[in-house]
Amino acid sequence: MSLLEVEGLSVSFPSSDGLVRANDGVSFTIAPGETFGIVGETGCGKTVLGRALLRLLPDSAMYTGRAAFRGKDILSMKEDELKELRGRGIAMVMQNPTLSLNPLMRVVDQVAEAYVLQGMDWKVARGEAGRKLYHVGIPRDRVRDYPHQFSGGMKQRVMIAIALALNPGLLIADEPTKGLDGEARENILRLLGSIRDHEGRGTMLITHDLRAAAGLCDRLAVMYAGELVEIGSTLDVIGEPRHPYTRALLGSRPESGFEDLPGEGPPLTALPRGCRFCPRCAWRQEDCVTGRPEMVEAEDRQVRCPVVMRP
Amino acid sequence: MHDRKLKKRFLGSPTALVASGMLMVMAFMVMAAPLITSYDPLDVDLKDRLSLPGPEHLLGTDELGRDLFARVLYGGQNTLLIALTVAFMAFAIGTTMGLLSGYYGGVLDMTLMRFVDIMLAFPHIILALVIAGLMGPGLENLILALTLTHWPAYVRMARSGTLQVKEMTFVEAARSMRFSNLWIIRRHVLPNVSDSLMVMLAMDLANVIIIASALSFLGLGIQPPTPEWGSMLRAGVPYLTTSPLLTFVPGAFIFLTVVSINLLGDWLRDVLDPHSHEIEAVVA
Repeated sequence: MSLLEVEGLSVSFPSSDGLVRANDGVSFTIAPGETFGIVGETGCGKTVLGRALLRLLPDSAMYTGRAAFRGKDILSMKEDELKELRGRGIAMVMQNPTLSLNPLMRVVDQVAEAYVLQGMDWKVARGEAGRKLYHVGIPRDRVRDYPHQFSGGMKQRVMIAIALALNPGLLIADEPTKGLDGEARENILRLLGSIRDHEGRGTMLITHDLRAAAGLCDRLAVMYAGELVEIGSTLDVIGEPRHPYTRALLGSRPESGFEDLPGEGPPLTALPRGCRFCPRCAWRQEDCVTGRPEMVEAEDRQVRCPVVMRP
Repeated sequence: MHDRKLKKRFLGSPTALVASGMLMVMAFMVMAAPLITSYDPLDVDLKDRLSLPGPEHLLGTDELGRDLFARVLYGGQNTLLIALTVAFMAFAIGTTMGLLSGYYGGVLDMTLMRFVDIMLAFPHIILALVIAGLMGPGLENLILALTLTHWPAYVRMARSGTLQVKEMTFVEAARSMRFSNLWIIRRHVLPNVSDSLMVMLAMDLANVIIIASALSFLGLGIQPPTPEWGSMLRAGVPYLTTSPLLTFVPGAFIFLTVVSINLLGDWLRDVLDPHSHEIEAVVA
């Protein structure tokens, strides 16, 4: 059984500009022990997807489709089931570690909190938290510091320690390397790599950093304007991208010559009727603007573009 | 490190030192009244009315021959009891309501805030006057009337802070970790809104002393013969020209207490306000 099964998940919000379709018909699965990457540019709906899986979105969010964790549907969970899910079932490393830590609490206490809530005594919990922090690379003599005494990379380590505290079945890391300098970034990625496939834990890496995703993930999904456009093994997607957007994304990397992708993603309130990438696409055909393309599956790969998939 | 820094800044501030020193001396004198004076504040001696300060009566006697020094010390017990009770009760009730209202929002928030708006539309003293007038004079009723008029301000302060803090990512992060709402409010929201509430509490303490004294002065507080600074002021008014000490002494005690508390509150605000740190850093 897969750890996480998402099928036809759509998330939308009412807004003054009309309905915001942040996620539209998203389907993918994550197997136990697998590291799955969601890659896409800023504002494409990656973070909404992560939060939807923990039901952390505002009450105004409307869901359709299915998202099941270990066979239980997340979208229909009641408050007490959600409590069971959060932290122990699925845990999340939020983006921006500086804002994600309580500025007035010692870091060890912020990790220990999770254990105290399990019924552990504060003293024991602090000991446990200290071990967890040491495990993610925080020296023992720093655990009693406050967050502002930590660098961005160290704060991110604390966030990871908190997320791992209750040994979740699935770890969602939302842009864990955002705002970190090169070395800190490498260290965090190495840390995430060292904790994955531990006791069958799945990892979902949400990022716009293709290099991070390529180095860490078993499989990749590429997201564009709220929908997944390509899913496949990392090797395939990076080595032989099929969807025009994936190709453009890979071509824009410095090592591939910084090739600029003209235009910008459509606003999520006014999506084109046909293919969403069509206006920026180099492979555009006349029939691209009429109907929304379906996912085409071939050889372990799903691509939402009939044009490039035509034999 | 937070506490250590606060202590250092405290010792480096003459205002804070003088103000807290004054308060401590005053509080000690009031608390230890039986040790300091051997007179009973209720002991009437009609043969020795309105006497001048002397070796026998340190500050003289009042219109019934009671020792003024003893009365002002014992009176302070009542005044400070009222002020502390009212300020802390209003603080506790208002903060709790404000946290819940701001965190949960919705109908509770709407209803509560409209009620608070109405309460704050009346001047404190008028509202307290009406409540105390309706319930009759006395210590308990005075405390009740003042608490009822003072808690709404804390609701507003706590709520506005909560509205800001609850949108911060660390609250969301805590939500993603199975923490219950009450746990999040207590451990993540409250500590992050408490600075401004502490300053408000300090400022309010001074305010309550003045209003409590005013109500007692108007005869709605503690009744004679029990000494209280406000009612002592009132009792001294007829003798303003002949024995000014009767009004001057309780007046001076009220003044010194209120000024000390206000200075301390000002200092606290400067220390806790992040912007004043920056200014200092620039100057240094």
